[in-house]
Amino acid sequence: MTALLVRRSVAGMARQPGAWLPGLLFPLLIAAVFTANYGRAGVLLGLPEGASYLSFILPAAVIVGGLYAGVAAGTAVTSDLTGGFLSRMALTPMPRAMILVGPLAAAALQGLLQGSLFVLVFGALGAETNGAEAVVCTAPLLAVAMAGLTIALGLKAGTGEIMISLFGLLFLCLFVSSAFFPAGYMQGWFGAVAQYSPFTWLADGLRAGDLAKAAGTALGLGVLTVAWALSALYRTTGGEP
Amino acid sequence: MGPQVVVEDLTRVFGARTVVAGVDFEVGEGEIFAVLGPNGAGKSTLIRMLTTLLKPTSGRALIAGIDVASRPREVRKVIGGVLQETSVDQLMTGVELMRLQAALHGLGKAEARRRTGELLSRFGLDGVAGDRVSTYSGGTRRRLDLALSLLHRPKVLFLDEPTTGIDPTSRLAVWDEIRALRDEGTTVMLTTQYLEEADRLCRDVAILVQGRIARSGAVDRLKAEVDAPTLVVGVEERVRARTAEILAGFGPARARSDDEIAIALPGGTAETAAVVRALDEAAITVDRLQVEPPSLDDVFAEATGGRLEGALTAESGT
Repeated sequence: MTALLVRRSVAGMARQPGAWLPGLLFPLLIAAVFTANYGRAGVLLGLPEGASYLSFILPAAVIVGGLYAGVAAGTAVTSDLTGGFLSRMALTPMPRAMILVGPLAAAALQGLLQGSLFVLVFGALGAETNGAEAVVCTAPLLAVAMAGLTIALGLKAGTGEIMISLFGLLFLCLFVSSAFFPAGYMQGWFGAVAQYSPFTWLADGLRAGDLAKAAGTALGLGVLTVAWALSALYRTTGGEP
Repeated sequence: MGPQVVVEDLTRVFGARTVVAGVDFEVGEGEIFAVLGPNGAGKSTLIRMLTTLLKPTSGRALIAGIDVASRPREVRKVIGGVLQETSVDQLMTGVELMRLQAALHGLGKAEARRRTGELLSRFGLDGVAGDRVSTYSGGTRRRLDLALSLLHRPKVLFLDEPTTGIDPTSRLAVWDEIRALRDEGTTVMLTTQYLEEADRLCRDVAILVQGRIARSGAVDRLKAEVDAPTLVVGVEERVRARTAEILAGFGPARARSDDEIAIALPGGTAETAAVVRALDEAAITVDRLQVEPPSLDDVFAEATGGRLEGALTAESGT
């Protein structure tokens, strides 16, 4: 049963290139544009002497990819909700939590593929990828965490239209973190918020190749958001696990 | 045969709004029971409570003797449901959906394969089973939806407006299937806005208005209670007001389409001659005159004071 649910979500994603292609391409484009703009301003931005901006921005690509994977999962679940298939699954005797297994697994797979591809592409372009293991382990966890958030909000809103706004808001949050620029470079309230942003912990952990910090942050976020998504699911389907 | 659906004082409140208010009824084994009501009457809320998708605020409902509030998972083992929106994943093929549905109901592989073959054949889906659902017509999707709901041989089948939005030919096919299911012993509870659907399929109905049951019981008994037949008269628009005035002297008005005038004939069909004489004396030319026996529409009008919104027939509905 679990395998069929996962297969359904993965096949559903594969059959809609629009659901997974942007998550592969857009982070690479962002990295290319930012590197073209700021690649020569590393010292001004507070990067260590000789550090490459391309290496610096790899975590940002991973996080943006995670946002895309999350939004794809949230869109899939809200589509099931509005199309009635979520109710069909909820009418079977399986535990209701199983309804989220497929979309979360598909998000994890998308995150894993994106993380692996980004390590290969960035490495081929000359970026330092010492923290490759941290990227490959953290990317699927982050994708699941973002999926939990989008699913929870999608179920509460009852429509997939919220996903566009949600992506925009989360993307904006990346600028209040060390994803694109060092947090130490930021000043005032902006800098204070950036210091405590989970995206900063993720980005700093990935840059340092610190698996515990990066994956731990993603895992912590994932536990919170998936619990929220489950709570929203139970409320949507009759209040029972 | 004991009742398969028992509903006692079932109530659902959303905030300050009571959507279903103290509903009671029973459905016997192997019967088809319809809940009729206008949009917003609480039909879908009622179905969602009985199928464990929504918790009742108060009251009790038993499906095949199992309490929906305390043992919802057990209830879901014995029910099937076709909800108002056709609930099929359009990215999957018919066969993929059948396999997934069988697995979610815990059917073994051999049984799943056998039931899938049986149902695809029974619903005429063999030829399209390997195609993605997005390529199916509305009627074909509805038949697949019904087939999915029957994979695990449910004792009680809930159908929320099962033929709304499908073509007349598909509607007749769905009706045939519902009758066949009843003949096999499945209890069917449906909601509908088609009075003809309820009239043709059901022995018993309940009329739900603003969350309360306004009338319920056997269709024939409800019609007999209405008693008076309906006289329907068609005249030119210029004399319509005068005609209505004359007819009002023979019986209370009954709702019909705008170009017809209808009244109840408490004295029965014998009064028709007197009506014709009165219209003749007033020099009114009658285009159409018809006496109709009491219908479910009349039962609905008597119970609610108006016609059922969207009370379409199989021929007019699409």
